[in-house]
Amino acid sequence: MKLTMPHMGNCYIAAEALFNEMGHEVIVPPLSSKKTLDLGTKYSPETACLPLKLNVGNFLEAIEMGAEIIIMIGGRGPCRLGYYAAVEQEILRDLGIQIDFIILEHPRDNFHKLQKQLRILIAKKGIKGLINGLRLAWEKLGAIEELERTSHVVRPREIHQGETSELLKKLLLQLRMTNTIAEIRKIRRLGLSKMQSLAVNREIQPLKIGIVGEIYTILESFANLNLEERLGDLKVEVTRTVNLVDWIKEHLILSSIGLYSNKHLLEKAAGYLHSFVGGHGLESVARTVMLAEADYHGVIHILPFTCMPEIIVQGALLRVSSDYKIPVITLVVDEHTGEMGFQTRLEAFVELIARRLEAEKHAEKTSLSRC
Amino acid sequence: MRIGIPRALYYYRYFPFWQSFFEDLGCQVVVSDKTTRNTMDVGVSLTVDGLCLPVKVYVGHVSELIDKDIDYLFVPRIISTAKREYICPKFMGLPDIVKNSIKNCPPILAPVVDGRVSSLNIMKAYVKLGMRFAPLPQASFAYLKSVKKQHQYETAAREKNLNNPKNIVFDYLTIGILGHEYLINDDYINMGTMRWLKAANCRIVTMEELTESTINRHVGKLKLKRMFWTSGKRLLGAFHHFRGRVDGIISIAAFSCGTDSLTMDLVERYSCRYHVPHFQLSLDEHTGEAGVITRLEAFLELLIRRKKLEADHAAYG
Repeated sequence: MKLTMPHMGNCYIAAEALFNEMGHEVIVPPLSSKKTLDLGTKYSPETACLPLKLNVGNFLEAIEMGAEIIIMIGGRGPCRLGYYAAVEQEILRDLGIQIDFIILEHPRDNFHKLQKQLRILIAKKGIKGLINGLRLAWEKLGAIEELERTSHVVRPREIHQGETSELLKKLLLQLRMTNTIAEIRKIRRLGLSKMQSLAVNREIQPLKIGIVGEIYTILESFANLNLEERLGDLKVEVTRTVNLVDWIKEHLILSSIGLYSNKHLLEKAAGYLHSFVGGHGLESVARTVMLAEADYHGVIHILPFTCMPEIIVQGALLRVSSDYKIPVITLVVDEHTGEMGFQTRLEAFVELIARRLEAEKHAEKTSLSRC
Repeated sequence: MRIGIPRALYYYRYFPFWQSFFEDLGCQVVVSDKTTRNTMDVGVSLTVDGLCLPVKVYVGHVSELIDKDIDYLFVPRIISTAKREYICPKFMGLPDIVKNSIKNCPPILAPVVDGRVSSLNIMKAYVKLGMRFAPLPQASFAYLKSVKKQHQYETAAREKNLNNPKNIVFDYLTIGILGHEYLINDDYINMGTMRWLKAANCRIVTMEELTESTINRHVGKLKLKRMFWTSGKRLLGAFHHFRGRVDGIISIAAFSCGTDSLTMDLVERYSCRYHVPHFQLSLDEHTGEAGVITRLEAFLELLIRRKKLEADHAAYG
């Protein structure tokens, strides 16, 4: 049984480890590329959001490589992601492709079905394989995200441009190849110290920009046109407000036992958004307020075109931006996003923040000299 | 107290309920005028460009209402009207969208209509709202009475259909319309499509004329994941009710409507599988009336030819 799953950032490394440990052969689709997007756009509904199109592209490429079962996550609304799997099944069916789906739904939605699917998945190595796989995947995910986080800090300060990205790539490859927890920890430790010992210019004080928005476009570097790398090269220190480790902790583990509460987010977003609106809508508003309070220099809000929750957020952020006096730019991505236009807007945004800071410093100096 | 209700979105579904509810509480209900070019332009200029057209128009209506000297603006936060189902994220954030796009907005009455767990929660929300204007017994009584009014209205809407002429004469086309009620019933947003179809002597059946149980029966038969959007569920159910009963189906969707982007795609796939003539109209603020009419004419022409062909075959058969 050859399994495959759609891409989302680097988490294929963790997913591959999980299913390998359970005794399945995993076919990782080629990393999302122009070809993936073209394939997906061709067969997906026209106004569906970007992640769906990339998913379809990933599936088609994986099927070409011999995948027999697709693993996909489900959901229970109101965001469209919850219905992706159903539509994707229909798309592949109409293309004449016979393929089985295993759709992992939220445990609280249909526990019986989830149990049945898990039974299929653990048929080879039993519960032990599942537990080992989960531990390995969790460890890898933690390592990936910490390495990425560190790279965001180091990249704007590096002296030889591109060194950090290269090292990160190498470390991720090493992580993918290992399958013991001890080794993963070793790579994580060594990798972190290696990254921190790269040649950096300690005098640079990079601008600090936070990224909020829709989780897929934040994590998937193809969908966001390598946003983090681009910003790093513009000497900006990036903070990603969404990461998978926290998401899994909050929305899968805590919420399935009924312990997750979004009260702290509602409090932060009060005045701008007063309800959960699906996806990461509430988080985006609350996190922008938190970033503003933490004296960040700017916020980038990224979303796929027609994303329902994030469009509501876009309107709210306009007001957050003027109330907290923090520059916010909304970047909408879809299959028509051009690289040059994207880069120009980023450069202009960074330039604007830099000038603003300079003006503020200047104003401070003059007011001090007057005293 | 003057309560402003914008003539957009779920006005077209729940207005009888809202009107009766507020009037029983001794309030005066003020409704904005019908959508015009101006409403749309104002709405478009006030909102972020990614929003769907009906929500932009809604904001336009709100800004027109403000000039009508109202004390409160009624913008419910409709999360869910049925168990384990949602409406659409934009309805969940509607009061926030309004507040974020309109400056000097009057105080908003925003009951949280959330029937995901139980419809009792909906009652609680309305009674709590009613208690701002009247004591508890009166508020609960107003709620119950309004629910009954709404029910009567919906039944009347369905019966209107039953009274339609059943003796369908040759080349008298029956057309099923799929789409949100706020698109179908707003003559300006849908570019007069419904008016035009009626003038062309078509018999029109809409989703509003189907009972909840009919829709659930059809959706239950589908080998598809449970649809968690109420509107999407109604669309799919109505499609399966219409096919075989009508000559053609016209679906009306707003461009960049999130739920429709997936459900209308499913409808399109089903209509290919079941060979139902299907025509999809996508609306946004740039839609031109002439283009719409031309495409409608072509579609009707096609249906008439198909019907004639079928009639000929039957005669020879």
